[in-house]
Amino acid sequence: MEENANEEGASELQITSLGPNERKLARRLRIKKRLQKANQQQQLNGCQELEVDIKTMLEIQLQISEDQLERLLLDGKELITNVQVANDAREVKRRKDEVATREKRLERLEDQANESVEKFNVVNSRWKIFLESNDPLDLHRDMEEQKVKCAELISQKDKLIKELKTELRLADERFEKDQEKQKEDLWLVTERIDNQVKVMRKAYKDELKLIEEVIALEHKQLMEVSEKKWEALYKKHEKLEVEHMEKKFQTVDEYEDEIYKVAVEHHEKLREVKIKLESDIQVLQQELELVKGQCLMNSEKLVYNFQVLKRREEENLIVRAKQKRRINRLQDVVNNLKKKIAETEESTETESARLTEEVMRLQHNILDIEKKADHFAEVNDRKYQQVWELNRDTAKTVLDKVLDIDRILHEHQLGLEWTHPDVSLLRLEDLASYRCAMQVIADLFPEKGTQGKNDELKSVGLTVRNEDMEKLHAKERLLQNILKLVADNSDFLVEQKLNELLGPHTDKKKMLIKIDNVFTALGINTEAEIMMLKKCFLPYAKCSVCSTSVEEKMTTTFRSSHESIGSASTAGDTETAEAGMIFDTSIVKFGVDPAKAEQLLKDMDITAIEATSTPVKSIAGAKAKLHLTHSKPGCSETLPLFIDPVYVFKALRDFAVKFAPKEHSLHTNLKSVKHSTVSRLLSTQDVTAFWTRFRKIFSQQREKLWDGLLIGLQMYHRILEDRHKLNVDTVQLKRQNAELRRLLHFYIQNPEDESVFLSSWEHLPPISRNYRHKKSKMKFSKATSKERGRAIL
Amino acid sequence: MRVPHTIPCNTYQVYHPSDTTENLQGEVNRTLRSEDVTWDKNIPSTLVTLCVQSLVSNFKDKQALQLLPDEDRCLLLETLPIDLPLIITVPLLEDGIYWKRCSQIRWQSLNDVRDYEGSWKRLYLERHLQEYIENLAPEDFVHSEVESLVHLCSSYVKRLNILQLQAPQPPTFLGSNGYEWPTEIVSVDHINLEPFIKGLVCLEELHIMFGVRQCGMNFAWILFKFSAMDCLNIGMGLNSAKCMKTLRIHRSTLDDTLVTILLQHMVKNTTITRVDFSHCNIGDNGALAIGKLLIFQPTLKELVLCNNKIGAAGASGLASALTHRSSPLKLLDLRLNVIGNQGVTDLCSVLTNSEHLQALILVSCGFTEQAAIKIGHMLQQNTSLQALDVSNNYLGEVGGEALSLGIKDNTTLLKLDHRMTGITKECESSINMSLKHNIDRYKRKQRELAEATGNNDEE
Repeated sequence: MEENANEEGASELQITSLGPNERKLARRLRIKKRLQKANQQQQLNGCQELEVDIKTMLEIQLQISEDQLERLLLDGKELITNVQVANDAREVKRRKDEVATREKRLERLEDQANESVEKFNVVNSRWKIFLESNDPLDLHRDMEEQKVKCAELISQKDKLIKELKTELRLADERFEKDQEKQKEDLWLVTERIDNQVKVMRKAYKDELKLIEEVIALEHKQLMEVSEKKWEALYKKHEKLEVEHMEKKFQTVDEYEDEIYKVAVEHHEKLREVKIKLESDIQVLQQELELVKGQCLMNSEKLVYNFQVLKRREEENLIVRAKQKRRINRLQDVVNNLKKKIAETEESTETESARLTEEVMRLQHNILDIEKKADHFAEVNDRKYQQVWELNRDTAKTVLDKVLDIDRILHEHQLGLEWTHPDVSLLRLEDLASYRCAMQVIADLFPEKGTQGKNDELKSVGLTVRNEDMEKLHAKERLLQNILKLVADNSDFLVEQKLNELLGPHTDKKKMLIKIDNVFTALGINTEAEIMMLKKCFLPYAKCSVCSTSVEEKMTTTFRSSHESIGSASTAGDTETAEAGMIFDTSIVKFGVDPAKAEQLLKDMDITAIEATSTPVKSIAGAKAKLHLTHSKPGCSETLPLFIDPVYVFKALRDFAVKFAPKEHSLHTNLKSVKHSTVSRLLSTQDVTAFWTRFRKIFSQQREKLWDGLLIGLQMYHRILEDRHKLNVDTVQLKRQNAELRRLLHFYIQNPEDESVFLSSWEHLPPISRNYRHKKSKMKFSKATSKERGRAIL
Repeated sequence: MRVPHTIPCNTYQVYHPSDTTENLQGEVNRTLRSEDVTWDKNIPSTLVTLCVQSLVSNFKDKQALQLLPDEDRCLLLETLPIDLPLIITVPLLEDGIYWKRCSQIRWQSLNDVRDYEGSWKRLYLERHLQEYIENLAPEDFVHSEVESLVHLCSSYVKRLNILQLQAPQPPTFLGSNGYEWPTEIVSVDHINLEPFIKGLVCLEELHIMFGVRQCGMNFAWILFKFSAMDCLNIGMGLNSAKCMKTLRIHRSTLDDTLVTILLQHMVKNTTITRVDFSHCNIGDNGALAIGKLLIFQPTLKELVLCNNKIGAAGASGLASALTHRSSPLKLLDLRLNVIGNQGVTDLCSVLTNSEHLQALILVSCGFTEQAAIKIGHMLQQNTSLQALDVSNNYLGEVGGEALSLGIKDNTTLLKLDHRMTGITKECESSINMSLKHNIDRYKRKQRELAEATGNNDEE
């Protein structure tokens, strides 16, 4: 159908215009042929060329449409512009006409103007003649003529104007006509434009439809071709699928057979193996049970063990922790204690220093106080005696007085003969206690005398000792050995801590401190005590060289050695200054009795004898020889004495036993001496006895007598007093009476002169109203004065 | 339901169901109607809407436009009153619905936004300015006011089509019964257009018609006159115009002196490509002045002097100006100017060697066969002319033959209007054949060119 339409279109085109349409037709025919060819080729070749052909078809359609539309546009434009062209033509014509008419009009106007100018000139020329002529009639006539001519001219002009006006009207009419024409033209143009628009719209629509149809056709063709192609492909595919299926089925059958065979074989094998394996499994299961049981056992055991171990471990851990904690705690304690020790050491050092100083000070104080006490005692005694004397004297005077009075009483009052009472007063010397006291005081004085002696002795001893010291240096080593032994073997006496603390110190220091400790533990403070200690050691000492010698010699050796030790230790006191100091002070302080001092001196001598063991012979060699007889000549003095450590304890025990009681005795010696004076030593009984003797001189009767006398005398005294009083009163009254008499006498002599007595009354201001009353009052006063006077009289 | 303007009306129509659909059995008793656009008529408007309404009512005081979200801004622009002062709206509101509303409410017709590059704002502002200028009496001209308005519109206005300019009121008007106008020469100066031309920096086209439209019974020739001052002002304005492309002063009493003054002052402008002085009173002297302009104005491409009083001398002057290589004039319209044979001959002698002129319109130029022969000769030689209009000139058979002969050797002429020339049918057909030939060739060339560029693009 489309092709037919195209053909129709082509034929129409052929009819309308020649050249291009013919060409189009030819082209279209060619296309048709080509299309047919393409259709034939379609099945053979493919779609490549088809697309090309279809494209060309569309292009051709577009070309046709474009041409047609262009033509239509051109036609329409021409149609529309025709109006303009016609209008232009009219305008040109109008302009031509206008130019012609204007020229005509101008010509006519010019002619008219010329004519009128001529006429005007004629008229104008006549005016000159007017001026010349004087005839009024002529003038009038000429004027009339002129008037007519002018009117002619004017009318001519009016005519012209009229003509021009008509022309103008005509022109206006023409203008109106032209306007109408223009309107028509405009209408025409719009109509034509509208038409053109309509036509063009229709044409465009048609062309669009045509193009769309062509496209649809192309599309359809394309679809058909591709559908066919697809169908062929599908068929081919189907065939191939079927073949494949068949092949597959065959192979599947084969495989199934094979599988069946294999399966059967497999089943048989499987059964055999299964049976075999099942029996195996049974056996293995039994074994497994056994093993399981064992396992269980083992595991339980292990668990138990494990738990036990675990518990132990825990315990251990706890213990360890505890220990650790304890160690830490102890360490802390140790540290604290160390610190404390250091502190206490320091403090004790300072304390001891302070205390020694204090002691020294106190001793000084004591001495001072003692001195003072002595002094005060003396003073007191003296005063006591003075007071005693005074009291006794006063008592005696009083007694004498009493005796005197008594005698007076007896002789004057009683008239009796007075007998001197038995006066038996005591004397001071009569008192027992006084005598005792005197005795004591007498005892004290000789003691003071011996003290100075002792000092002398001491100084001698010291010099001797100093001399000895130099000689005894050689024995230091022996001494040290002994002390060392003591120190080493008496650990039990020393605190354990001290051992630890002493660790880093040298042996010498260690020993010193240990000995010090041992001594403090044993309570050894003085040289004598050390001596005792040595004595205790003596029996156990022996010479290292002569250890093999006989037993009997031992005692003497020991003694000597002991003495040597003792002296050595005395000498060693230079090392242990403290001990020495204590020793010295002890000597100084407690005035040691002469015997003791002697003993000490003796000891010194002994040490001096010992010193002879040194190569240099001592000064006291004479005395030494006496003792040397006892000592072993065979045993070299230079060889040190040894004490078996075994005996150390024994010796110490002996010492402890011996030492304990001695200590008490020592203490008793340390009592202080009282400062005894007469006053203090007098007993109170004696004193009271002494004084009561005074009181008891008079008997009881005598005292009663005195009492009675006292009462009687007192009464007598009172009577005397009354008499005395009355005496005095009478004297006074006598005097008064005399005076009053004098006064009365005076009044009688000049009675008017009252003013002297009543001045105070008279001088009062007058009171008019009470004048009478006043007068009465005056009278009353007079009366009273009279009365008074009478009363006085 | 408010449908924002951004949704085209077609959408609404598309979604609207047809009558048959509405009458379907299932449709009649349907309660849920998602397509119902009137569903919220009885629902009070939202707070947002109320806010926008209040913003609209207070827009003069506070322009909270940028703070709004798009949707609300849409609503705001749809409801803004159109009588807001331009000083607020022009810088603030962009092209869109507001300006569309303004334009459509203000003018009933000629609201084709396609003439204004699709910009409603430009349409509104251009037409507003046009009306302002057209109705501005010279007495009311206030420089500052004009400047501010021009400044507002400067970046939007591209074309000014001034169809009338108010004439100055005569100082003494004798009254309605006397048709006499004062004999002394009164000033005919119109408003000063210079600030407009200067201020509108984007102005590309300026069309001016001096005269008063719809003057009615108050018609007087003086209403259509304009002074040298006006021309001077326009010329001065054009001197500084940077974008001006088209100047058109038409249907005015533009005579030789005025055009000379105008052209003297616009010589410095180098952007104008089209000058149109159609339907004026330009004579030979004016044509000579225009010829001078052609020489000095290398950018001028189109010159329209339709319906003037240019004679042969003026045409010769123009022709001599065309000989200058510096004037690449492409269109010359001398319709309804009686330049006669002499003028056409001169033009043809120029065009034989010209390479620029593409269209020549010689409608009703009052030339005859002699000139037609010259045209024929010219056509043989010329290789640039594409359109020639010689209608309404009596050429006769001789002229027609000459033309047909001339066009046969020509390869470029695509259009030759030969109506009302009195040439024979044979000549006509032969001319048409030649033209068709040329057109086909031209099209082929164009297509090849397009294909070549297309291929280039593909490559």
